[in-house]
Amino acid sequence: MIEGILAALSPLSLLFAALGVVLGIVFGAIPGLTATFGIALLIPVTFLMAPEHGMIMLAGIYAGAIYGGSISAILLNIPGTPASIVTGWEGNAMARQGKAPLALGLSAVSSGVGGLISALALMFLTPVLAQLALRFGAPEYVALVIFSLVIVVVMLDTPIFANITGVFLGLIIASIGIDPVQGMARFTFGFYQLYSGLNVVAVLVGFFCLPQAIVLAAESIAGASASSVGRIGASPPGLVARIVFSNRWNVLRSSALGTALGILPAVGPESTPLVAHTMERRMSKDQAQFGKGSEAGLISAESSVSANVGGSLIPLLALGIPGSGAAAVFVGALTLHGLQPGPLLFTNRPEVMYTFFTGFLVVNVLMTVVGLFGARYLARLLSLPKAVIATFVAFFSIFGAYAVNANLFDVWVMFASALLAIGVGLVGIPILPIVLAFILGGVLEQNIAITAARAGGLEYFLGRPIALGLAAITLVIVAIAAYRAIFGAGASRSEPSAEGGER
Amino acid sequence: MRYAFCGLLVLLSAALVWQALQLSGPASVYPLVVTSGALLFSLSYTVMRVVGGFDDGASSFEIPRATIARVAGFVAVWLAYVLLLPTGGFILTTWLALLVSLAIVRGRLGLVDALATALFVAVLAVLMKTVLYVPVPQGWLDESLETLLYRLR
Repeated sequence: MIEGILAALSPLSLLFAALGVVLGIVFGAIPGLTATFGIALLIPVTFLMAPEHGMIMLAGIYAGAIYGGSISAILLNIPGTPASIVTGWEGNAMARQGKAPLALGLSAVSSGVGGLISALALMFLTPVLAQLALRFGAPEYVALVIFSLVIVVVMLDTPIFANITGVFLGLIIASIGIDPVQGMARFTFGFYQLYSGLNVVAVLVGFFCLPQAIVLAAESIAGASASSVGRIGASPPGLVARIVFSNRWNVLRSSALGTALGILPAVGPESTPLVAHTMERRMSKDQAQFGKGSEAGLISAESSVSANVGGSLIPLLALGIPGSGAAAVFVGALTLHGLQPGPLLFTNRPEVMYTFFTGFLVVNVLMTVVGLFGARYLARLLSLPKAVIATFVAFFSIFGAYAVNANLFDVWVMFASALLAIGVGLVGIPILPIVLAFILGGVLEQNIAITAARAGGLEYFLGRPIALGLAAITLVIVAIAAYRAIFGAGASRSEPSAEGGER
Repeated sequence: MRYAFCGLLVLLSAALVWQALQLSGPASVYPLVVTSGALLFSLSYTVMRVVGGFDDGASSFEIPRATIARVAGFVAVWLAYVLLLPTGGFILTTWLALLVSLAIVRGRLGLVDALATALFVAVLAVLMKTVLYVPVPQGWLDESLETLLYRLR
């Protein structure tokens, strides 16, 4: 553990953490580019690094992008990422009152504190959860994966048939290649390159990056020009610190909520600030101010959304189950380095894990510093023309898919994945269930095969309380979802809920 | 368009079910279950949309109708880029693709664009040969750069 902490504080780790944070803020600040996009695009770059450095950089991108989205939300009321919508309500109202530097500072510090709290949760909860997961056998994994997929299906606010279709599409994509039972090729259509399955990075780049390039190109062609931001003053650090300290219980509550929601597979950074903001408004004595430039509202949104980032990494590292779309993309980075996310990571490569945990703490400190002192300079990025962004995003999507194996076939896989993402996007099927099912499909099938081979009868499952418990919870969730669907409890869905889009 | 894609999704799922049926033994069970699930639920979703229609905002991917021709041009440039890359080499093909893509999206071609993209490609090509070591397809410009770098060493 000590070695890991020291490794995370080495100059090279700090450099990659800083690089990740700055790149993340750049991606997040530019409307249209998201955290998931940034991670997917830069996964191939991490191939050149040690696994822990690559993970620290990607964590920096993730945390930085979630914060970076707040810059355009505060200054222009254009959320840089979907996670910054609430920040736009409060932060932009403050900016219109002439308090843009204060809003940017509050956003940076409360994001940083939220991120730090979630980093501590990541550091202490993940090993505990992983220890528990070491007792998992094949039936437990089957139950856990099904539970995660069911959560995604019932939590997204898109039609349930669309969500289930997405899950099955993802499972089909994951099943391309040689099957784990008899070693037969399936769904390969004569391409020997598909025998080992689809390249995870190429598929994720196709899902998240190329469609975004096309959308940006269309917006540029339609005449959406770059925004211009005037000169912005420096954030007052003393005042920011005083306000955040006076809202300390708000920060703690929102961060705890953000971390807890992040652990759930379907509740990503988009819906978390809505829930935290609503909760804080109900608890506030000054409810009328919410939505009109409330400092408490801004702090609750920012700390919860950053805490969600660390929360979403907990199930990924402990169980191999991603807590969000962006966390799912992390799987691509781990597999690129030959690491299998899950409890065995702690047994096989503990140094990587502890370096990453400490690196994630560092990332959040750096994000606070960069945000507090550099946000006003990074705001200039809002002036980049969309045509240039679209063109370079398209190029880097192709280059990223190619560079992993230096193979043009992977580029065609990326194009096919982009086509699928565009197609399902057109008809309203969310991409998140597809991505999660694609990532978890292999684990599911392999463990079903093992369970089927070992289980002689139903009594086999009676000695497995964890699997039975998870199955029971899954059934209860399905029953509640079915009850709501049948008896039209649609009103409850008007509450903030998870989105099917990109995280 | 949206109904056509829904139909395409159902047809694709049906084709995959048929493929899964061609498999034999225990290995066929899982593919058959997932493809049948995709067929069943994509069909249900299509029926739901045909009956209820698409609400505003149902699509998460939308392109303004007026921009479709130029967007198609943008996509065509990058498809052509991948096709031409093995014969044209990395430097020349990438520079042309970036330039044409920018011209299509911006609606004009500027000298600054040409110079800036050329500089970007040159820097990236040098980085790939000296730092990144990504083996990209070689054309005569790439080979000339290789020779130049070898002589400089």
